[in-house]
Amino acid sequence: MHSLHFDILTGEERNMTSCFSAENLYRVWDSVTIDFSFAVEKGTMTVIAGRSGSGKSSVLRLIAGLEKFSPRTDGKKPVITLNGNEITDLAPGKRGIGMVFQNHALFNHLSVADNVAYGLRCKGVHAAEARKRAEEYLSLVGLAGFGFRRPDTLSGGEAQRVSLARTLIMKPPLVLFDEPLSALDAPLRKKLAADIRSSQKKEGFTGIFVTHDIAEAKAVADRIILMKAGRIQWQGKPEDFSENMID
Amino acid sequence: MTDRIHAAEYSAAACAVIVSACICLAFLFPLAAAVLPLFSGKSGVSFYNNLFRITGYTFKIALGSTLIAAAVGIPAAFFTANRSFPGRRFLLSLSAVPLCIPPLIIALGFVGTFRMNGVINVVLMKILHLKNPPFTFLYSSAGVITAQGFYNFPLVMAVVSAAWKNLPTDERDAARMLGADERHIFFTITIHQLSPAVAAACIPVFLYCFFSFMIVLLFGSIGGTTLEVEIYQAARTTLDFKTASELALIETVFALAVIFLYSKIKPAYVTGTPSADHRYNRAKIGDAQYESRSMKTAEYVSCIILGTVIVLFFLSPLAGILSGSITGKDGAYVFIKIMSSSGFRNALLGTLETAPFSALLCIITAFVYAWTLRVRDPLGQNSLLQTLPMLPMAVSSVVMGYGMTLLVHCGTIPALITSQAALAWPLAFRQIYASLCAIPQDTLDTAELLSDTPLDTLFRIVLPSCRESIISSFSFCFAVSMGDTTLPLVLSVPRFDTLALYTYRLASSYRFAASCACGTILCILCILIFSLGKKET
Amino acid sequence: MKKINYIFLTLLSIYGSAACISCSRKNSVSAERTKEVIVYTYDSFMGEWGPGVQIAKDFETATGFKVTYVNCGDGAQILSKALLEKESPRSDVLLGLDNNLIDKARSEKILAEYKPKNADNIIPEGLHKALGKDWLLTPYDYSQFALIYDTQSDVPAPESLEDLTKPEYAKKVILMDPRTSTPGLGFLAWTLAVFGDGYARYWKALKPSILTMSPGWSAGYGLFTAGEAPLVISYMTSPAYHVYAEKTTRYKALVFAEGHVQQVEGAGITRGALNGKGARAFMDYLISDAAQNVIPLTQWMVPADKNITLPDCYKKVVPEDAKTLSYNTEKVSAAVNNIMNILGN
Repeated sequence: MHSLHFDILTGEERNMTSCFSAENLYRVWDSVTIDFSFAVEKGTMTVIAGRSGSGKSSVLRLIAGLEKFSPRTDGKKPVITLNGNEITDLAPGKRGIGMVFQNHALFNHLSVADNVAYGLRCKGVHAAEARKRAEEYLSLVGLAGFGFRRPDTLSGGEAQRVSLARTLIMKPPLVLFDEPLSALDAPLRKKLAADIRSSQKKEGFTGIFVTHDIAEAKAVADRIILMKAGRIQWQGKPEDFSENMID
Repeated sequence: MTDRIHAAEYSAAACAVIVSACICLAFLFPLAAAVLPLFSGKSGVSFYNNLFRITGYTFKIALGSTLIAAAVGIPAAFFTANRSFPGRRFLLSLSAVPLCIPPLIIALGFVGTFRMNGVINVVLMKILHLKNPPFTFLYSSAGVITAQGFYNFPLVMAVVSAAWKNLPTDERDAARMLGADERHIFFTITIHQLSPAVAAACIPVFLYCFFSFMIVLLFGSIGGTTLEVEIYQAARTTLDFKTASELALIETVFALAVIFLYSKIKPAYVTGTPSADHRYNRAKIGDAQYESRSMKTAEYVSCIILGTVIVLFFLSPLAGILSGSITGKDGAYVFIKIMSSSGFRNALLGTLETAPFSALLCIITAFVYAWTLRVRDPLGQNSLLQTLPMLPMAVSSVVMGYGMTLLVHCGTIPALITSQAALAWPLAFRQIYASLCAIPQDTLDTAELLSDTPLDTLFRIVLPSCRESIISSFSFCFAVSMGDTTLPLVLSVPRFDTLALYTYRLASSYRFAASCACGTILCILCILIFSLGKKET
Repeated sequence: MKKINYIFLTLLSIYGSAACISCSRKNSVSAERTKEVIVYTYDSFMGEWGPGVQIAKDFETATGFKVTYVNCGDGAQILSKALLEKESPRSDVLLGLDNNLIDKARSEKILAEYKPKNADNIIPEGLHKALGKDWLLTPYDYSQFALIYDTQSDVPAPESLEDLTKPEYAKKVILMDPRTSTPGLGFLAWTLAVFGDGYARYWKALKPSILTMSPGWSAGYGLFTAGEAPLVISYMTSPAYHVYAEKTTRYKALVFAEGHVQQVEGAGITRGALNGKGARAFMDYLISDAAQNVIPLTQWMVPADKNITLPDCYKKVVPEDAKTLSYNTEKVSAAVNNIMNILGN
């Protein structure tokens, strides 16, 4: 069994302007125990990189509230804070967090525009208004005019863009990316990575991006945290990262 | 030595092909014979003015039963797929009941439990101090619909539960992240994800209820009659063959339309795989992660209602069969009396004469067709070839028996065996074809390169790989044949009885305790055979 | 070459098996068959409580012929089965057709005329006339149809057929299907006799009173004695069974002033029977003293033999003053479809 363990008490992190912090997060699976704390600076993209099966996606799901914490015996309490507000016990949809999934998770029975407008409709926004805003965000991700298409007629890259638009339309302060590019081929990955970065700059959200691909990590990250055997092997700027750091 | 083995293989393969061809002909010829009287010069007492009424009633019964099966099965599927509770496995195992317990037994159980002087009415009248029995729905359409609906709900539950469990969770998680609550997620996402599975479950149930015969025959409502019962009455009682053929044609055409619809929907029903990292955790009832308090309360309440309804309308009739047998004037001794009677022994012998052979013919035909399909259409793209095995589902036992009677003029044991096999082989085909498709093409290609003759691949690689599904199919078809009352009744083989037919005769002469005892024995045998086959897998 | 031989042998054996499947009539009758008399009858006659078992046993002792009963369900189904086998009959005797079915049996020519020995001294003229005056069918028992009433029920005893249409009798009457059952057909004949052409109106009004129409008498009477409903169509003689076997007068045959119709049950030799000799012997035996004496306490009908004395239980509960109605038997078959349509709408 290995565990993920992030130590918040580094000098560099103490000096950060934290938008998001997660402390004492704890989850026990069959083959991995996650036990970590970390913080993320506002407006940045932090990449958590590591080999497959290390529980990176589980970390995101714990932050999103899609997984429950395991009970601790040492008295420490998990705390998740976003923009100064504690969101630990809030329902996933009320945390102000957006998430882009690995396989886009589009709703196949809805059109592209209805997919993008889904969150707004849940919040009670009028259908016409929601549609209008959906079209705007589709243009933002380079899919103007795709509103009437059905998800199963889209390519992988197009579907992931729709997923991004659907997430960004809710204007979440924090967006989680769960290996969103792994199902795409190399040229597309590069393009979409660049698009994610440009969206981030336009929308100003903070991002946590999980990937096993080092090149991808370097392309999108402001800061990389490399995991190995449940521990932080290295963290720092992308330009300081090299491939031979991985065993 | 090798030559002899090859020769034996060729002979066996030739036999199998010929048998399969005979079974296919045994399906087509009686079907044609059943329709031929339409063109005869004799004029029947035509039911044209009642055709709509009879067809409408049949449709109403089938639709009502399917709606009940879905209304109970889908909520039951929710609990079995998403919640852990004591008795969950038992509830899922009830899906074997419609497959291995004949409808005749269920009809008996319902009569025993819900008749005016049945257990339920007597108890309720005592407790609530009622003058008249509260449950009087038995001898009416409501009785038929209730019996059939509850009899088939486990089929809906099993299919929908399996689909629900395997639904990709990412879409629901995405919806949660976008702010949807659980109720909203169910109505905007889950229902749509489940709809192919619901349709794939409900269509066969609709078809079984459309062909309902025994339950309607035993306690149908006044004047309420289904196509199947009318065909039987016209063919065997009033001997109005032209009317029987008219009704047979209408029934078969309608069923074919339903089969066609089913063949379109079935490919869309694909069980997805959950994301690899996420283990499937079932919460306890009322303890799910995202539910609001009101939803949790609703969950408890619906669980109690569902449980009550299943106990009352499904488990009680099953228990009623056993209790009906031991509460007669002979008590439990009725079992000894029945088993020592010559009628029972003859019936048991008759069953053993027919069921194994019927099952054998089923698996031979199923295997030949499945293998042919596997070789000719490895990617499963030929929709015609894929749909052909569903055709026997569109023909009812009464129509088959009627056609066979016209063809051979008098029922014989071989006619019964071939009729049963002609209708039941698709049940074996589904299982065997699935196991053939599970053999990777590379394996077959390698085997072919290394084998002396193509039949070597078949006998040394393919057959052993499918051994489990063949055994399971054999036991399934055996149980189906053992429980078949309709074909033996329609064919009316002289001086021949089967356990199912014997039970029916006891029931229709209202020797209730004896029929329940015989039904219990039949039930136990069916479950035993069915389980033995499952165990082998 | 060897492979081809194997295939050929396989084909040949399959063909041989298929040839065995064919249901062709043998030209010569086997020795065993000539000793056996196959009787098509209904379930209550041949069941363990019916007269069939004793009659078969005594007949075999007396003549050496073995009787094999074939259960066809109820009376009307005997006729159907015989019609289906008309070209190649398997039965020797049809036992259980009645005065409502004889017309059809006659027109379809499925019976051979035979007058049993001593019939003139045994069978009353009235019964013989009821079955058509030819000897296609020989009467073996008879009774009037009547509604049997459970005196322990809450509803009052009806006094006429019309009473049954009253609201207090909703779901209180058990009938039988006239397509499959002779009592079912008999009740229909009764309504024809009482209401004439107005029978359709009556059946429309009767529909709410019917609990169920069982396929046969056994099922219907079984439902009645199980307490499912307080009224059932049966025979005037049925209560005698309960007096004799259960020592109770709980079940009463209701006498209606408007009269009752009568069922005369008969047996006849199948035209083309394989064992004509055995069939004739059976017919002779059926109206003999020995067989006729079995009928009252097993069949619970009045034996056709006018010389038989009925047991005390009959005298206790079987009314003798009920008027017998006549009716046109030809109209009965035509009425069946009509009332099934009425009940279905």
